[in-house]
Amino acid sequence: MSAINPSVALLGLLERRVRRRNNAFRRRASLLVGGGLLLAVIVVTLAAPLITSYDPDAIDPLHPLAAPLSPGHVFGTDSFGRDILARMLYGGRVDLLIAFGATAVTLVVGTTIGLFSGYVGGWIDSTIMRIVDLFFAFPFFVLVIAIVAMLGPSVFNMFLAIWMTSWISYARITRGHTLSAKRQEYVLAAKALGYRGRRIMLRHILPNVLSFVVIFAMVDAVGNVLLGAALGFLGLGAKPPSPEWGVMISDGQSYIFTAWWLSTIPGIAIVIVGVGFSLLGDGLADILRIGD
Amino acid sequence: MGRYSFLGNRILQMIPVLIGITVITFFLLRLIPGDPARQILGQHYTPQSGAELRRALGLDRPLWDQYGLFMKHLFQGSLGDSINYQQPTTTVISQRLPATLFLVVYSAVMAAVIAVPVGVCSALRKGGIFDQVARVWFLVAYAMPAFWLGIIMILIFAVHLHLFPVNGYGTGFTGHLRYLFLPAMTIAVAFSTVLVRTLRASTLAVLATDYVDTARIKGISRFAVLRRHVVRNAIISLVVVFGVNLAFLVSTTVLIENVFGIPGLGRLLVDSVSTRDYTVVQGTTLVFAFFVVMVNLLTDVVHAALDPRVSAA
Repeated sequence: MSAINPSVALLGLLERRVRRRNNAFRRRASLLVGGGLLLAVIVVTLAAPLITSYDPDAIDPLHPLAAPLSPGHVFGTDSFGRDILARMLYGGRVDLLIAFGATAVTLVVGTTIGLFSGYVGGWIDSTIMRIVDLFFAFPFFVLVIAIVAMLGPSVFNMFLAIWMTSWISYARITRGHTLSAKRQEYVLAAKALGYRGRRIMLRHILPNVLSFVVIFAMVDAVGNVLLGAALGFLGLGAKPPSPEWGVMISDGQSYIFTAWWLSTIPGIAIVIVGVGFSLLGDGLADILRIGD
Repeated sequence: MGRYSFLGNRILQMIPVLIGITVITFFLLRLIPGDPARQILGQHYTPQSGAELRRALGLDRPLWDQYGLFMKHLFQGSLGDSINYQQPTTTVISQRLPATLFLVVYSAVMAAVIAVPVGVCSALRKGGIFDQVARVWFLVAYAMPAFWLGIIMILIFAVHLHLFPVNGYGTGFTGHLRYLFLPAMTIAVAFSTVLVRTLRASTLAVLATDYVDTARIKGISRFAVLRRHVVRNAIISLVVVFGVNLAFLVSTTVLIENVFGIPGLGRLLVDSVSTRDYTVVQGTTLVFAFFVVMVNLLTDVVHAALDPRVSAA
């Protein structure tokens, strides 16, 4: 084969540089779009009283099932004449609370358990990991329903059920990365310096493990939004007349022949939040240079 | 390691998991706040029936004895009686099992039919238009609540196009196929989002292997290489992905049965929550977990049969 023509090599280099810039752009694009979507949802739900003057629970028997874009009701009204836009905005607060509340607690608990289990090792580690395996044998949704069933259906018990079951994923991820970090030189060095276990775990290992955990948390948040809405839909989480989106979809199913918008609109909102978390996770993974 | 000892080991590993599952389901009933006997009996509660149930459940004995009793009944094939149905829980569950099994298999097949071509095509033209479109679609589909997608399906295909029934289970094999088409499709769309991602990655890995290059250098046509090496490996990885994500499939099925009013285990589970039929909730949970463990074993065996590298490792 002949030597590579220098101009061709230069061309290749240029091309690669352009591609890298494109990648960098795409990276930032999914981060910005994802973050933007979530931020927008958070802002409009918090600013609900400024956006609409309707009370989400105010019944208007004179105007039931008004179609979207009818005067005064951009998204229409439900069977009780309640304004859908107002219910969407106030209901979003419930769904976002589920997403953040469920995810944040399990993240902290699961990561702590995984970090401890991986670092300490021995029989404590194998016991904890057997428990984790065991929870993984159950279909997650079935276990959550069963726990809610026993405790009695309510929003708080739904949180309890998710907290009791969701930590396992975080524990497994953190534990795996802790195990490999434990063998690396910086941890050995810290040990050689005589640092205590707690300091090594929190100051040295945790920062290196955290990026994996945070990226998984974004996937988990999508799951928790869907889970919260699903439990509301089944009547096992938020209860009517709460304007939670899953409950709204459930209410709308009875009017599927006459009022398509009742179920459709809340679902689109859930998709927006879910896509937001997913894109944010993708963007973070790219920035932290972790392949999928 | 031979194929049979692989299988033997795998079954031995399963035993502690099965025991653990019974422990967790046993403790489920202890989560009931207050007096479980009073909660379980509800309006049927009298001091006499309460005492009877307490004796039957062994609530008056130490916890360890209670678990022993639970296991003894389990081995005798009893999961207690359903308060709501006035029948043994096992009878109630076995009546509901066929619909769920039918739906799980139906949607698994549909998901595979969607996921294999999409996953392989995305990998073949990585970064191409098809890959990009598929990526965006699965990003959105992953965020869709399955129950909402089900309602949208009803809205489009049942209410407007009158192609399929709105809900129910139908009679006979063809009846089930017709009635369960929309529910199975809904589950398949949700499940395929998980399958496609892994299939695409594993196909990319196969395309980068030396044996694919060797086959191409030998002069085998592109199509033949695809069929013999790429798709075959994609199907093997499909079995693995299927096993790993089975719990997700079952969870979605539970949800979708409730959207379409299908008389399966998922519907039974949710109905039993509102009727406070605790023994049925406990029994259904146990059956679902056993099912997942068993099918996982099955996928491992199939995987080992398809791919000799597994049992050799």
